Order: sequence, then C-alpha cells, then structure tokens
Amino acid sequence: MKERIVSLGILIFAMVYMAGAIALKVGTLAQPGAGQFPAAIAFSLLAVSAFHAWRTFQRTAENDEGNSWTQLAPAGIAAALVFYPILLKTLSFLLSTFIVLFVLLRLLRYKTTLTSFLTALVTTILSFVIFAGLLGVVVPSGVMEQFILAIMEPR
Amino acid sequence: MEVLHQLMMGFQVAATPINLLWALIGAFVGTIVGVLPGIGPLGSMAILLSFTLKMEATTAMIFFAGIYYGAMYGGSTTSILLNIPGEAASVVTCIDGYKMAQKGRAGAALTISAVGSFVAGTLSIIGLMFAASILADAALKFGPPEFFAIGAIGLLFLVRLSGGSLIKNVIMLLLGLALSTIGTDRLHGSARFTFGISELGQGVEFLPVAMGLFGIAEVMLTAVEKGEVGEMIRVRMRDLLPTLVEWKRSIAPIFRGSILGFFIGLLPGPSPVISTFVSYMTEKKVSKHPEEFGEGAIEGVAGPEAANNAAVGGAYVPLLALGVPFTPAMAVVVGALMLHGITPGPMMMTEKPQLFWGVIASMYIGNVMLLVLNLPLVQLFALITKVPKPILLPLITLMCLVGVYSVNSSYVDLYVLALFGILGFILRDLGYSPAPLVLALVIGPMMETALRESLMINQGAIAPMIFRPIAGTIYLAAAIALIIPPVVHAIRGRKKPLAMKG
Repeated sequence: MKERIVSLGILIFAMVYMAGAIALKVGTLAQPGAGQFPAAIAFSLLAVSAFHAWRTFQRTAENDEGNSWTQLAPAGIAAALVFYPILLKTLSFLLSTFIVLFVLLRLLRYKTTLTSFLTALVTTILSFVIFAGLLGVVVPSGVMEQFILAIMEPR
Repeated sequence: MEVLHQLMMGFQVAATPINLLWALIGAFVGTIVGVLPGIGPLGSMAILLSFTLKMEATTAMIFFAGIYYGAMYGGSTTSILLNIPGEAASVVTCIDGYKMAQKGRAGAALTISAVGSFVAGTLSIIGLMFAASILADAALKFGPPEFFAIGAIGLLFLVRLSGGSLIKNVIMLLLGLALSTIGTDRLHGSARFTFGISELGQGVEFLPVAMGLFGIAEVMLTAVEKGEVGEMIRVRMRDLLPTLVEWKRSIAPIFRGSILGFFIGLLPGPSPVISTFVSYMTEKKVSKHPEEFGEGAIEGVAGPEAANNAAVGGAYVPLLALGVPFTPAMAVVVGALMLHGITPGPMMMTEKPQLFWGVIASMYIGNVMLLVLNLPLVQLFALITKVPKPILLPLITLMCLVGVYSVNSSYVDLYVLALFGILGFILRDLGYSPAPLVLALVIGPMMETALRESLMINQGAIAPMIFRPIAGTIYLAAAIALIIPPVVHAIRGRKKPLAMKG
C-alpha cells in the first residue's frame, strides 16, 4: 500500500512539474528557452514514474515492508520540525529550542520528566552559547538571549 | 619536481597551528561519527557545515578531510569489537574482524585495520596528487559539451552503482534534476517554479535538502529501530601488537586494497562501500587459505579497510580537478567551498594553490593524527556506541535545525529541511536511495548550462556535441564500462548450464 501511495505521489508530482515546464518558454534546439531542460526532465520523469506506478499496482499490495509511518516517534519528530520555524519566529531562539528539545526527549522516553527538562535546558543554553556567542550566528533574540550575550561580552 | 615544490607549499599552509588544530578536531569528530551507527560522514559534514562559516576556506576543507578520513577509521572499531558497522563501508570488516575478536585477536585486527588505513590513505593521497594535477590540466581543454558529458555519465554511473532498485534510483535522479531547475534561470534571468517566494529565486539550497534526507531522515529511521548494543569485547594495550605471521599475511592485501580502493574511488556512487566488497572478494580469490574467510582471516580485515580509505582519496580527484562531485559527501565539500565564495574546478589548482595543496598536505597530517589517535583511544571510541538513543537523536535534530538556520538565517530553509526530512524518511523506508537526488541537485545547474551552451554553439545540432574528440572518448569509455559487465555476466550465465549439461 505504501509503495502505491508513494508511486502515485511521484506520478502526480511529475504531471504538475510537466505542466509548469511547458508553461515556461521551451524555445528551439538552437535557441533553448528557460523551459527546455525542465521539459526534458519532466517528460523523462513522467514516463519513468508512470511505468513504476503501473508496476507497483500490478503487484499484490498486502506485503507492506518497512516501518509504520504513523509511529509516535517519527510523527513527533516530523511535527517538531514543522513547528520549530513558527516557534522560532514568535518565541525567539532559547524558548523555542527548549520546547522542541524537551518534547523530543519526552517523546523518545529519556529517563524522567525532570531529567529531560534539565537536559533540554542545559543543551539549549549551550547551543546558544556555541552558535550565537562563539560562531556569531544571528538568531531571533529576546531578553534572555541579550542577557546571555551580555554576560559573554568581554569587559 | 614542480609537484613536490607545490606539496611543500601545501605543508606550510597545513602546518599552521590553527589548521593542525582543526585537522585534529576533524579527525576526532570523524572517528566518533564513524563509530556511531547511522550518522555517516555525509550527515556529520552537512551538520557541521555551519561551523565552517567563520573559518578560512582552507581550514574548512582541512576540517572536512579529517572528518571523512576519521569516519573511515572509526567505522572499523565497532565492526571488530561489537559486530556493528559504524557506517556502510565497514560492513565487510564485521565478517572477519568480529570473528578475530571472538578468538582473542581483536587487538591485532584493530592494529592491522589502522595501519592498513594509514598506508592506503597515504598511497591514495599520492595518487590524488598526480591524478588531480594531470586531470585538471586536461580539463582546461574542456568546453561545455565535455562538462555535460562528465555530468551525464557521472549521474548514469551513480544510478547503476548506488545499489537497490534501478528504477527507484532513476526516479530519485530525475527528482534531483527537477529540483535543480527551481530558481532564476541562469541564461535568461526568468523565474522558474518559485511560486512568488523570493528565497526560492536563488534555487533550492543544497544544505537543507542533504541534511533533511540524510540527517533528519536517519534520526527518524533510527527512532523506530529496535535493538540494543551488545556486549563489547575488551582490548588491552599489549594485545594490540599483531604476530609476525599476521603482519606478513596483511602486507599484500593492504597494497592491493589501496590500489583497488583508489581506482574505485574515482567512480561516482558509494565508492568506499563498493571498494570494500571488491577487495574482500579479491582477497578471498587470491588467498592460499580461502576456507578461513568468514572465520577470522586477517586478509579479510586488512584489504577492505585499506580499500575504503583509499577510495576517499580517489573521490577527491574529480572534485579537485573538475569541480564535479561524484559522491554526496563531496557535494557537501562543494557546498562548503561555495559558502566561502570558491567555485571548484580545473582553475582551482592555479588560482587557489594554497587551498588545493593545503588540503592535500593536510590529508597526510590527518592520517598520521588518526593513527596516533585511534589505537590508544580505541576502547574510549567504542564506548560511544553506548550513548542512549533518546539523548542522541534529539541532539542530532537540534544540530540539524540550528545548523541549517545558521547559514542563511532563513525560515524557508527550515521548512525545506522539515519537508525533506519527512520525505527522506518515507522514501528511504521504501528503499529509495537519497544519493542520486542530492548529487543531481548539485550537478544539475552545471549540466543545464553546459547543455544549453553546447546547443547554442552547435546551432541545435546534437551530433557535434557527442562526436568531439574528448567528449566522444568520455561517452565511448562510459559505454564500454556500462555494457561490458552485463555482457560478460550474460555469457558466463549461458556457459554454466552448458558446462553442467556436459
């Protein structure tokens, strides 16, 4: 079943990409336009993915190999990844990173809640010190971030 | 003489305290990465890319070379002591390495592995030095048709050699090429597939894609894996010395593995992995004791371990000479160079000699460091496998998130990371290899520009693009290399039933 879903997904992508490529100027062989290379790729992808989807649907669907996509750990990691940019934008670096790290530690059942809390806290501060303080990476900052940077600044 | 003179200059660059320090850190980190199952050299190089932002380009390259070599060294430790390959290139070492350890010869296996890696690393660097300079000189004569030929043939080989399903590899390659067309068209300046998102005008960044497909996807796959690390075989310092017989039996396999590894390293695809299998099969064939293979034959450790290290040197040749990465790890190296405003290619040797020769010299130094580092600290490195998954995986995720954001301070890059992390998990779970996609994303723009320029130069005629002396030779050599093995296989397949009948 998973193979069928993925092969169909790729086929749909190939169709959408083909439509986009044709909409660009394809040009001639002597004067290739911006859409010529994408159109060639789109045509190849469409042909290969259609053949692959056809073969996948020919096979019996019951032997679904691999991992379950709905298991808690990968689903949680996926959610954390999607929400991190939103949290980073609204809550600044320390708070957003701490939340994501704490959630991941709990999700993967790292010791107790208190240990996870402390590990997330220390790791977040350390990562801020390394990336923002030492490597000079510009991260969204609030009061707490400014405070740590002020402590780190040479007098 | 010229090469030696340049190499001496390289040593002057590499031997500055800061470069030596980063070579040591790279070797150390690489060894840890090699020891840890799951996180390969590519993932770690991608994660650590942001650390190189403040470094000089030469220092960054030295750091990465240390990681790559270190990973090859480190992978063998857990293969021998725990029967767990730290990364794919060490799978073969498990077969005889772990058997040797069970027989009380773990120390000898580790020493032979380290010395073999050192010898192979050094020999492959010598090969790289000469091959890269010859190839770079030749590449100055290359025009757009030749660069298109190199890119197209490289990707074709990658698809054939990546293992797994051929059709899935082709799909991943085409998806990578499709992704590479997103952004502003280089020749006409028009926007393609950007959907009004200004950040996409620059194209899809390589780093979040690579970190998503290799780093995050690996974290998600590891999170659902079950299984605990088994008991580790302990090694005392005095056990590290192999016997005279073990030394004698290892010398020839080390040299054979070095040569095989270097030449296989020149090919696109997972060359370090392929080289270990080829070396193992070769050693078994030429051995006077083939029955010992699988039961703890020292040749089965010496040859493959030498081969995977030599392949690293080989993999640097197309990158340094042509500017074309043939392995995903080399694509990260290109990413690091681009971050420092350097476009790799045949001119790099003349325009940036300090960088070119500094990296080569640092590989010698890195190899010595790894030899000194690995044997005394072998037990400590093996202990790293005991770090529990629930702490390791969130830390890697955090490194990926912060690493990707730190390069461009872009939220779009974080969404790209998330998208490719999830896609990578789904696709890798079903046996789609991410390597063709990542390499096609990197090589795609070069190929498109070369193809369009070639077509314009030849006024739309395709034959003159193919039948040029250099491009034609490249296509012919590739056709022979791709056609001969299946033909030989088919002939052998026919002969066997006939022989059985007779």
